Amino acid sequence: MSLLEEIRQAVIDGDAKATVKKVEEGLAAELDPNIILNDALISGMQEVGRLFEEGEYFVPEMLIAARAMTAALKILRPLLAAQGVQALGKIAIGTVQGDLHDIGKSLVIMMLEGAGFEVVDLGIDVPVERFIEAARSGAQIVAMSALLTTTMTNMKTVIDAMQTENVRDQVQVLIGGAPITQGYADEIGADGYAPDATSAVRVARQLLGKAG
Amino acid sequence: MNTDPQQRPAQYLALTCGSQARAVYAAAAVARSLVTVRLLDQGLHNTPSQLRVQLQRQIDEVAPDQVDAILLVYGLCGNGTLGLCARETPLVIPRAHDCITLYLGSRQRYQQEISAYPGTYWCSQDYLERNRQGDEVTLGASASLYQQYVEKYGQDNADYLMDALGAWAAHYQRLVYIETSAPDSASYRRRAEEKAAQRSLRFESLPGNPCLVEALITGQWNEADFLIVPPHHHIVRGNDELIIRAAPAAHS
Repeated sequence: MSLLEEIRQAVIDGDAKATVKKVEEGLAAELDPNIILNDALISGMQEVGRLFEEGEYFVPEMLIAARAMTAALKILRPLLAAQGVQALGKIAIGTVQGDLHDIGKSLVIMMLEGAGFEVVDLGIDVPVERFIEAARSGAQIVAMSALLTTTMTNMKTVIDAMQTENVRDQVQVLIGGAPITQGYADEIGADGYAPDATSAVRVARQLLGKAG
Repeated sequence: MNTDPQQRPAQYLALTCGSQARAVYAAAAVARSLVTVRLLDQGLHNTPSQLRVQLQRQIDEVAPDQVDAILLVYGLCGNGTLGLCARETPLVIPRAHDCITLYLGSRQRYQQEISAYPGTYWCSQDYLERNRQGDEVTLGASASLYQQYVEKYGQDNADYLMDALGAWAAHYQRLVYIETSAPDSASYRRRAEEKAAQRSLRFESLPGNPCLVEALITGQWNEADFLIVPPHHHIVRGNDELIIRAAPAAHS
């Protein structure tokens, strides 16, 4: 197994220590950080996403794999920046007002960062105005999540407020969370819906015309 | 079947979440209607698709004319009741997000409570005594889950997972015990209060109000609080504060 394959496997296994150790070995052996990122880390997370979609992996496996990837990203990020690698886009994300549940959001953030997006974490229980402010501050995508049927309707409140405040056309709106469906996204006029963290990356790429 | 109420009492099948067991039995015991109570596991809301499958199976087993209505002692419950389809017998379901509305007696009261304190952990005697994890007040992940994680993913990852999966509980500010007239309510209340103290949560006890459950079981279904799903219709999400509505089901 090549070093890249070993890194990829360590991500799939959710072994953060091994991932970091092998990335350091790779850098010492002068592997290109961008290749480590794409061919080992992102490729490993894609496999994790596939396993999740097939029902072999569940949220804990996703979390520990994303944690391993994030640990390696910390080492790679300054090197990638020095190489002039640009972020794919800027995404602001938060749970809607009244919703304090952020496991899904944390996972989505790790996946988006791993895929090369710049992510602004607005936190939990985010008031409408902060989503509007994020749209004004240059986020290309505003992402919202909700776990509860009592709070999911606040997504519509945010989208309606974006219209009123004339920022709706400046951003793409991506939504997700346990009670959310494509039908609900269509109904409230969101641009994209992601049923899980892996799909969030795919939909975010599509929304910004960076399909792949 | 003779449906004249002067001739015989109405007959209902109440498909009941374990969390509402005591209120449903109490209401059924004094109702003029003849109510068959069937309890389902209260943990099913954690897997809404399973909840839906199990409820639909129960609905499908009811023969035409067996009862006058099937009562669903549920709310939306994580969307687990969306899509449920009435066959030949109407379904009746409270307009509620979840069991807290049923405990408190109105969705308006529930809305006021969660608007004031979004981070509220709710518990009640039914909930504790019918908990599959024993009658402990559990907040977030349990010790046995931690052991499973250690075995499966190693200590380091297990610690991380407990932090990551339990983070939501850290954002909670309040634990509310819903008082009922059940005989052991006070001792369950003490346990809930102890748990709140351990977790540095503000403790409150609020009086429960079984009026919604009573109205459901006794057939007093006003449109503001209950949805009646006619035969061959299914439950869909509504866009307004009525939460749910009935729509014709596709022919199946």
